[in-house]
Amino acid sequence: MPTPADLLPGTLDLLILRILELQPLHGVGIADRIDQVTHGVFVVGPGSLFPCLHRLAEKGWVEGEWGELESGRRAKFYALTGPGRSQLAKEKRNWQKVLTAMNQVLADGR
Amino acid sequence: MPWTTRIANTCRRWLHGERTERELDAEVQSYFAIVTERLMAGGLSREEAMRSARLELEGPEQVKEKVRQARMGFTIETAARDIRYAWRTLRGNSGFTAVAVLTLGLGIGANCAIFSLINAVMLRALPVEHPEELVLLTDPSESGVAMETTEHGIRRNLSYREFQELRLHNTVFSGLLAAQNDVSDVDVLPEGGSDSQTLRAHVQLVSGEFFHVLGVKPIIGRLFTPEEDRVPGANPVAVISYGYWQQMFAGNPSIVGTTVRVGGGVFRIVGVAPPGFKGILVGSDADFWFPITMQQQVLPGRNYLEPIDTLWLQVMGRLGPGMSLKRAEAGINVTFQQALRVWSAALPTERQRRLMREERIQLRPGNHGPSALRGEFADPLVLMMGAVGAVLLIACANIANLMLARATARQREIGIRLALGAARGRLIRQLLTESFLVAALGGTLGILLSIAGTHLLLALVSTGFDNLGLDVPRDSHVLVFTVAISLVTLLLFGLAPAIRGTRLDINRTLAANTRGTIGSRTDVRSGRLLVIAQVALSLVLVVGAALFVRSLSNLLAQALGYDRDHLLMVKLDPAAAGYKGPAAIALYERVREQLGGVPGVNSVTLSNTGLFDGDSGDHVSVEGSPVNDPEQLDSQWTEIGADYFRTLGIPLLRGREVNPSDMAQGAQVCVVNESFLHKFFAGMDAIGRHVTDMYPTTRETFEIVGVVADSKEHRPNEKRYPRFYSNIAHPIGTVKSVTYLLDTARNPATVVSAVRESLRKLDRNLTILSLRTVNQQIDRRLITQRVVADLGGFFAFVALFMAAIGLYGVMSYSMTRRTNEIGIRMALGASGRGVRRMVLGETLWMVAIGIAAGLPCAFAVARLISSRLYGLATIDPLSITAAISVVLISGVLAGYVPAYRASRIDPMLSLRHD
Repeated sequence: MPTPADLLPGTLDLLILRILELQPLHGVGIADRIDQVTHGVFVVGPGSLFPCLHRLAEKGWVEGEWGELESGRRAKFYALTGPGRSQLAKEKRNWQKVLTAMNQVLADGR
Repeated sequence: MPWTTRIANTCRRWLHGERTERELDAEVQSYFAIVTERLMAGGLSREEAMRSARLELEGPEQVKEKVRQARMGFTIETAARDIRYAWRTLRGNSGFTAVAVLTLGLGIGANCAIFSLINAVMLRALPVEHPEELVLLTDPSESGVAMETTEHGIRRNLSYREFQELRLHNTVFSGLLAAQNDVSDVDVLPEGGSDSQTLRAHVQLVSGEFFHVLGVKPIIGRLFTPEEDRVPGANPVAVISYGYWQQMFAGNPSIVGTTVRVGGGVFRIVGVAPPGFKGILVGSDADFWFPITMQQQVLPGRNYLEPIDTLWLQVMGRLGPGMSLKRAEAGINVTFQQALRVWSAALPTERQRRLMREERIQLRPGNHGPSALRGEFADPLVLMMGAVGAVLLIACANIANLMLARATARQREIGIRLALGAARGRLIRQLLTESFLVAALGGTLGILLSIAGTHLLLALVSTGFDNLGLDVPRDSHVLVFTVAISLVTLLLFGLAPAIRGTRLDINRTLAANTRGTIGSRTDVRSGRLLVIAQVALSLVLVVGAALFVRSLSNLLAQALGYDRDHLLMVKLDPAAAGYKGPAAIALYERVREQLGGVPGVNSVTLSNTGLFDGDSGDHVSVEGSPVNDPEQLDSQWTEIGADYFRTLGIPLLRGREVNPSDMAQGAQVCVVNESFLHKFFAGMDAIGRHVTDMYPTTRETFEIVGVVADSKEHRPNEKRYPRFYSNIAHPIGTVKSVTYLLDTARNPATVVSAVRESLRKLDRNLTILSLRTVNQQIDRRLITQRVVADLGGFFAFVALFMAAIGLYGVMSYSMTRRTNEIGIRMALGASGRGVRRMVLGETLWMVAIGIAAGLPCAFAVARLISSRLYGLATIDPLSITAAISVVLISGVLAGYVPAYRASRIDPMLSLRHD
């Protein structure tokens, strides 16, 4: 199992938006999915997850709604909104740019 | 601006704080429950699972706190963004911003200044322990010494003897205190100082319990003890105020134990009162306090302590726990009546005995302390508050109009933003942020202006008072008031335009042209309504001011019955320089001769009171008069010296006046006025008859030697009243101070220094208490009326000016909107003059509606203030007509420029433009 890495600032927003693009999820579900898709590189605890979710909700990019799990427990499910979708697209493009630029820099230095 | 964001945050938390907090809690709980359940499914027990969840993750409380912080950061960020945006818009529109902020600042500043004074005079509690427990046994508005006087019914002042009785037999108060009901202006010579180091100070005599009952603690040394006012003359001690100690003794702590020479005694300073405590008389700060029993030493001359009818004290008590005002009043009156029964036995007539026994003490809440100033200024201040309130409303209407016009001008911008999906609430918030900034700037400017304004007001008022020392603190009352009115103005001028501005039909707005047709008719209509309200309000203010100005000029124009312009008054205190009895009477003529020798002085006389400075009246008996109803037998009196009527220029109708030989012999002669002759002799000859002044303790009889015309010597609105002028060389009772009246050939002010010099030559110890022309003295008596008239006039002018600006603004705006309508009219043959008349007509129509709406209010206000007006009918036609004309003229002036501009529109240009 790979060791957890530090998240770059701003990447958690992008990560969450991307994960919610597929389906609405509750807090634990989002944390699990992040663990799963990054193969354990990023481990996100509730202390980072919830502030980020609420910030995204305040900006109107995600929306929370109470629902029920199979176990019957109630949890808040977050879903991507319209503005959230366009924000995700914007951030994806931005990320590509950053990535390309960074890769170039790092490749040149080799 | 961190405080603006803090306010914004607090508002948000109020709006939806609690629900969010509950939701957050449920959400975090649910997260931890899910994690715990999963761990339990992996084989852990519930406790182990919970512990491990907490160890692995952060605690739920930390998580919630982090969320709160994140959210707060977001709010701060948007609020800050709104403010930055608003600031940019305001700066980009600096003309609008300057006008709005300045208007608002003036309005808020005036309100704040008047309110600061109301707060200082009427609202502030004394800076003592539990002021709410204090009650007054005397009338808080009384001041000065009333000597050999009887007050019937509810008592206003108390004598020291009465206070002693109340204190001795007190069962209802946890403590009683007495204080001189004024401060005295005296010379104070610090220990080891030479004569040139004499200081002037305001001193107050107080009972020994004074500080203790108030709960005031010294910052150095000690304050008085109750034992210090038991034996007259036995306790030469003094307490100094913190302010005076700082100012005159540089706060030197070694002052305690040193001595000061005051009046006829040397006093050891035993302590310094705490900062902020300036005595109990609001408006008359004390620098030194002395024990009441030291009266003869501090204020030499008359004995105030012995007589039961020298009324000069304010008495306060502290209610014990559980004692009600009513029970205390009943209790203290039992004590008071017992004393009165004993004293009344010594009175000569049954009527006097009955009147004395019927005297009562009324308790009043004492938390604000006594204040002569309050009685004088409470009503005018409330009146002025109303006036400045109206000015602020007018200012708000102006800003609201500007905002409306701006919102209309920005409709395109707002329409585009709405079309792009901006939330309406967000836009309203942004527009409100702009208004908020304007209100905040206006409020800040207002506070600055109010500081200057308060000083100005105090300076205006203080010319009418000898010992005005009013502390005008900027305390929490004033702060809350300022913030509150700033917020109210914000709602008044900010909310409606913001809501209206964002309620748009997007398609229409975007489809419309940029010029000409934007802005619905309702915008102009609401602007016009605002202007009509402004005109109405300003009419009310102008009418009010006109009434006060007319009343004052009536008072000033009163024919007094003599020529006042050439008269100078010099008030002297012979008793303080050691002249008593026959020595004082001998001095009167010497001073008269001395002053008669000053170049530019035609003639000199003297009286006990001078003009417009206190008056006396008493029961009399008149020999040979058909009037014998005891209720009718009273007259005013003045003690005069030789040449009184010649100097003043009051016509002598019959007989002669008091002359120098009467003075020399102390002859028992007097002169009566016409009213006296009519009342007591029905026009018969009175020369040779006798008048007896009936005092409770003394009687003096005078032979009438002359009759003079009636005159007004003490109040400009004095009624004709019987008066006799007796020879001052045969005094009624004891004469305290005397006032010389000088008839000067030139302007009386030019001989002032020569008069001072000449008196110094005669006796350098002779104190000049005051030196004024009669006109200055009249001005002092009329200071309240003058200030009310001046301020009323000023505020009315400001109101009218703002209303005119409002009128101008609305008409100009409406003209730009109607450019092509007017263009068409002119193209169809309307003349420039016709257009001018049309536009001016519209303006005057609004003014007329405003006047019609304002008149009933103006009448109501006139009725409300009628008791303060002199020589005017309730509805004074001249004031009303003048006010209406002034408002109409302002309307014409305001409407002329837009009308002129409209008439210069080039029809071709304006039509092509669209």
